[in-house]
Amino acid sequence: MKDIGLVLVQPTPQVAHEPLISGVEHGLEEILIKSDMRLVTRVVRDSAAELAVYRSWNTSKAVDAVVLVRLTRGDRRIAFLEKLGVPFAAIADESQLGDFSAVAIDYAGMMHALVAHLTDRGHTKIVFVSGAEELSSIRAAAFLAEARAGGFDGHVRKPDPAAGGSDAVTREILADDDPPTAIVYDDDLSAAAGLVTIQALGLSVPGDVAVVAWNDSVRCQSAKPSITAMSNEAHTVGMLVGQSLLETVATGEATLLHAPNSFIVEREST
Amino acid sequence: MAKMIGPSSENTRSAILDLIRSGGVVSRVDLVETSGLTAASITRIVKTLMSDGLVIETGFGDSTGGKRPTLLELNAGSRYAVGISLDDARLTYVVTDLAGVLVGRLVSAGIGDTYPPTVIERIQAELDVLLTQLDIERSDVVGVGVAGAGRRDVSGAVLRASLSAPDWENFAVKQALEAASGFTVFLENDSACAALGEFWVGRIPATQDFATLYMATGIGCGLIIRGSVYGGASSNAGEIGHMIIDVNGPDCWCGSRGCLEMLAAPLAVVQRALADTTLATSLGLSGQPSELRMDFARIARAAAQGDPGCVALIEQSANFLAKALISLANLVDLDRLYLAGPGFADAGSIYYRIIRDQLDSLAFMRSVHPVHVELSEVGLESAALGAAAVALQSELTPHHKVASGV
Repeated sequence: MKDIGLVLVQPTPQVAHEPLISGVEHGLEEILIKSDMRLVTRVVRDSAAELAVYRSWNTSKAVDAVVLVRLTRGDRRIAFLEKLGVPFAAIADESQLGDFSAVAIDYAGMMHALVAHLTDRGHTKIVFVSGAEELSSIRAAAFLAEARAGGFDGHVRKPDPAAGGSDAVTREILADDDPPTAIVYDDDLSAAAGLVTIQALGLSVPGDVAVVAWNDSVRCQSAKPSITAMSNEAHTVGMLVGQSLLETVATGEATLLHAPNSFIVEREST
Repeated sequence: MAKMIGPSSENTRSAILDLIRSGGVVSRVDLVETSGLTAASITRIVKTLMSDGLVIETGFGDSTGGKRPTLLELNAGSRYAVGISLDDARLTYVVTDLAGVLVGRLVSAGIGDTYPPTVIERIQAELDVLLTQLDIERSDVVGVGVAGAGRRDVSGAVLRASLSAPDWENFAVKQALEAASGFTVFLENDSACAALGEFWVGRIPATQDFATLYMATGIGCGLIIRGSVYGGASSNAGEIGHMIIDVNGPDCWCGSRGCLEMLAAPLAVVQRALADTTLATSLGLSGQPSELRMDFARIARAAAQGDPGCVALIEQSANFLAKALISLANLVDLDRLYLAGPGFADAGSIYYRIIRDQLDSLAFMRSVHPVHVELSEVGLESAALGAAAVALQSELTPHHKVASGV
């Protein structure tokens, strides 16, 4: 029986549920169970604790291989695991790939499709509200690259959770003398909160401001108006990272797989 | 707040622990005020809680004239609870700390049609593996909650009423797992656990009544009334799967006809898909009873991606569920419903849309108040999390356990 490990860093104790991570886990479990393997997930508070878990798992041999999520630029976990000799597979952006097993997601390509959806509808000033995680900065960079290439006026704003988060940043954006006609939020939660703020300011969606969420979820569907979003491929990504890991464990070779591109799920908010 | 704790109560200690837990950060003076006990009693009880490592001092509060009071807090990492969801398709174990926060989880193959004693042996082994993987000492585990499908008898053994796993009927899960693992085991219906799991993550005020519809292989419903699971005469309330939807419908294995489960559960959906041989072939459906949930997942995933034939099948199932939920909401006057369980993992958004639209337009009390429906955020894990909550509550706050009969 082989056990695959996944460590999630959650700075504050919460039971908060992340639809994307849980979709990935679900797809991964499906692949592992078919191969008579198990998935163990461990929640820790910081990245130092994460490394300590890998060290402990390696010593006790309690886990045979691990899956890395939320890769950062020059992620130190990669060298750490290679040194320990623990097989792993990562979920990575195309720009983060290296000589290791991974399922690659093309954030730049997805951003291109998202922006095209808005510029096709005549939007010339768009703001991207980024999120806390480092992957969000990759998406923000892709957004700015699209603005430069596509000739629309694009800005990135990062909400400060301590200063009112999505609500406050939405108010600031719309208080501008020349406010944008479209706002892209990096996650479904911020998009739903931003939508409420926009309506509270007496503006209409999509008449005055169009809203797009990067991650689709039921929250986008249940919002009024429903929110246009990038399709959620988390389950497929989970299955692919599982396949990549199984291949690595079996052959010892780095295995790269590509996630299918997300597409725009068009709803009432654009 | 009413002073409710008598000094002679044998459960005083656990009640004080619960006050500290629900209060977050509290002082001894706060505890005297809310409990009605004397300062001397509180000092003594807090001392024993601290010596057992369950409570720690975290600093000082604001002075109200005299010495600044010392603040107390639950020592969340001092004890752990395990929750297991005993499901056909996958076994999910969660471990939470004393505050109910998720520490880790393990997922392995489901129980399928495996002989129950074999499953118990595997669970015992996997519990050991998981605790090693999480670096948790066995002695720090307060108990193991198990969420399972089916009828319970008065002794707490699950009489698992399932077509796919008849061996579990009359199998005493609690006793077998206690003997094998050495842990105290608590058994609760999976639907009730899913509702408790929702409650436990703190999204719902304790005063608000709600129901959680849980779909795995079968369909059940957990009802939370005034902050506790509503059990009925024998802790078996919530069998919405056997609500009769069509009086002339197909025979149900329970003896009735046209039960919700016969019309809407994964088996019904898979059977309809198998009748369409073109669809069945293109999806690669196996049609084997042991592959039922995999087959259902294939249909649900194709529906989520827009395959028209599969969308129609899922919508049909959702339509039956919506009708049952309208009846439930009308009967109990509910204003909040959750959809939870692995049955909603792949096509939850289709179920959600149909059920929401029908409740919006057909619930009897819609002109008085809306009936909110949500897909559970704790989704797939809700039954296991709820089972862990049952273990925590039963072990650490026994003054609460009256209603559940565990």
